[in-house]
Amino acid sequence: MSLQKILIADDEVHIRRSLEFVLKKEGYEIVLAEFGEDALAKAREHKPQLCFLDLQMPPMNGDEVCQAIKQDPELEGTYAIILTARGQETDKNKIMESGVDEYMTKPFSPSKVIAKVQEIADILASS
Amino acid sequence: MIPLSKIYEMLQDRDGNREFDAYFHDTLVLIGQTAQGEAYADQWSSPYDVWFGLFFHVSGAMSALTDDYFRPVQESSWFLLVSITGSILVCYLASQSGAITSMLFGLAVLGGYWYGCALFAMGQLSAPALLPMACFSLTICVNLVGIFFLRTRLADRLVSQREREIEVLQAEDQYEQSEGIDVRHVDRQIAQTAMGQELKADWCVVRQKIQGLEGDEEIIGQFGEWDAKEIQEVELALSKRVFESGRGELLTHASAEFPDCEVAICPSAMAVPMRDGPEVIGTVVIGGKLRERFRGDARYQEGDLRFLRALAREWSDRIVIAQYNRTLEDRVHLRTLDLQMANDRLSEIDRQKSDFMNMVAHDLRTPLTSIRSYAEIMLTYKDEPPETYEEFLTIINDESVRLNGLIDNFLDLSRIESGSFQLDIEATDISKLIDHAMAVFRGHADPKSIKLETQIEDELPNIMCDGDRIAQVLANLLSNALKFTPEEGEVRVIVSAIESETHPGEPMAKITVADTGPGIPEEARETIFKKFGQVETDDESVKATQRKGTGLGLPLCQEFVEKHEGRIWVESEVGKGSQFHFTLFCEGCSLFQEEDEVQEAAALAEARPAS
Repeated sequence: MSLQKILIADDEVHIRRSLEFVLKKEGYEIVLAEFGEDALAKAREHKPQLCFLDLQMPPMNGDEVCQAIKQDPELEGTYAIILTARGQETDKNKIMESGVDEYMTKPFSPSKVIAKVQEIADILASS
Repeated sequence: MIPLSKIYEMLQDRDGNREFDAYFHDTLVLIGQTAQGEAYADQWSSPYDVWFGLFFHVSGAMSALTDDYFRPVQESSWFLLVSITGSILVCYLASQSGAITSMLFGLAVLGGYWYGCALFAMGQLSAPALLPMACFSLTICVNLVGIFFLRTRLADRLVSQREREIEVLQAEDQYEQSEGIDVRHVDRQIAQTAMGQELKADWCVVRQKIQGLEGDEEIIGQFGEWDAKEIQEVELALSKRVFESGRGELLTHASAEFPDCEVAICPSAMAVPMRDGPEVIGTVVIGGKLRERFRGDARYQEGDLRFLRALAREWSDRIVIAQYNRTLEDRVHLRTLDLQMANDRLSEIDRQKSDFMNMVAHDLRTPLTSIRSYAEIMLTYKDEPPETYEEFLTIINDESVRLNGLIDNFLDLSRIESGSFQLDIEATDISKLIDHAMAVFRGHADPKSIKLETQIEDELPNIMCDGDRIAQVLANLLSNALKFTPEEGEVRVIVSAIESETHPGEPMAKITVADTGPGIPEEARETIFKKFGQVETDDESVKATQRKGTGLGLPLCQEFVEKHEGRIWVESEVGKGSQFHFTLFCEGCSLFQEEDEVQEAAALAEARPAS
């Protein structure tokens, strides 16, 4: 499986825009979502290989979206990254319970995002 | 000759024969009760044996005085002398103690018989008289000897029983001594002494005044045979008297004052106070005099009372210490509870603080993430068209402004918390504030194609407000509305004139910020205005909803609006949108004039030099 399509779900327009800009530059196809429900619907519609999910997207949280994606047989193998502005251990544990593959703490630099996405592309390609 | 049955009847029906009763009362009761209560168990003799023995020697005495057989004996001056002297002696002893009367009486009569026998031996008495004489003598001897041993054994048994009780008390006492002085410990010491060798009490009751309850005394210890109704009556009466008078009480003859309290139940009793300074804090009442009950002097005397009083002084000190210990323990316990609660409260505040810091960090990081990301993008991608750079720079600029606003919010809230926050209220044109806010937020609405509208009622009077603060409220509400409204949505600001509900007749303006966002669930509507940590709920979903949203903005809006004497609330329908309303007083309302006057008066008072 090769990484082509990436879903970016964040209620902050500027964060969506920055990720979109950077990843488009890397040649990926980008799907944007503003809310949790929207993100889940778009994941089912576009079947991205990678999802960036903001943790706090009222009223449906990123970890809930992640859980739904991971439980959906049609979306099997989707790689999920939770974006959070917090880095507490308790939060981390809770996020990890949702079946998420990784989580990234804000603020993050575009170069790190690119490196991370490249890493995931390699993992997906080898699987 | 008086028939035996007649005497038996007289004894059976004691109450009807007060004369007879008075003579034999104490003795009969003592022997009767001793026999009924204890003799059966001991197999010495049945109660009827004792009764019959007594009947026989009474009737023997009677017949010796009246029977024809005994005429020669009766004619003897010695016999008369012995009989009459013996009877008088017995009467005296019976009235004095009621203890060994029966035995002495029997011996006196017996002496008369044997004197008769001696006369017979000298040939002065007829042979037939010997038979009944021998029978009487035998019965009397058996009974007297029986009663004598019975009493001795009974007394010894009771004594050893009491000694065992005292041993138990001592053992408990030693055990409790290791746990420090306690009231319970002191009352056992009292009982030990009262029931020991010196005072020989049958029972001992220690009472203590309950703090705060006038006239209500608590029994803290009851020992020995205190449970008879008559004894309880005597004890209560004596204790009451001592509490009232503060002096010792001595009842030498308990039955003289309490007719129900017969000598066999309790011959004598006494009571002494225990004091803390002048105040009577408790009483010790003892009664009985166990061993002496069977051996003569069963009455407490003045000397005993003095002894008990001296002991009570020492006990009082111990009770006071014990009470102090108990109060001290209570106080330590209460203090510990206080500290525990304070500690819990501090932990809770600490937790709230850390939650608050987390939330602040989250709120501040969000714009910072944008600023950093776009700055780095611009540094990395150098060949983009100028429009892209302009867009990114605008974002960096907007997010910097937003970050600044968040820091302002944070500082304002902390100023409000510390009480150093002041409003600068003046008549303000609300439409200007709204226009200004619209101009700022149009930049946020346009990229999402959100329709941003205002609808202000014509000829609206000026609003009494601090323009900067109300601008902050509008900015917060608009920022939330735009944030939650999806693309192609609609955000409207509506201003209408209303009349105050709390101050009838006063003009107010209602400002509404309405959006077409996802709406706010009912359970979250009550909590969104609360500062973080004030939400008292265990419902995780409510907490989560609150965390997710708007950070400090709404609590701050509420603080600002309420400082203006206005009200802020939200109406919302999930899936359709939310309307945030707040009200402010208009120019010309009496409320702010009054406040101005009050403030002026306060300023004048301050300016005036202190006299």
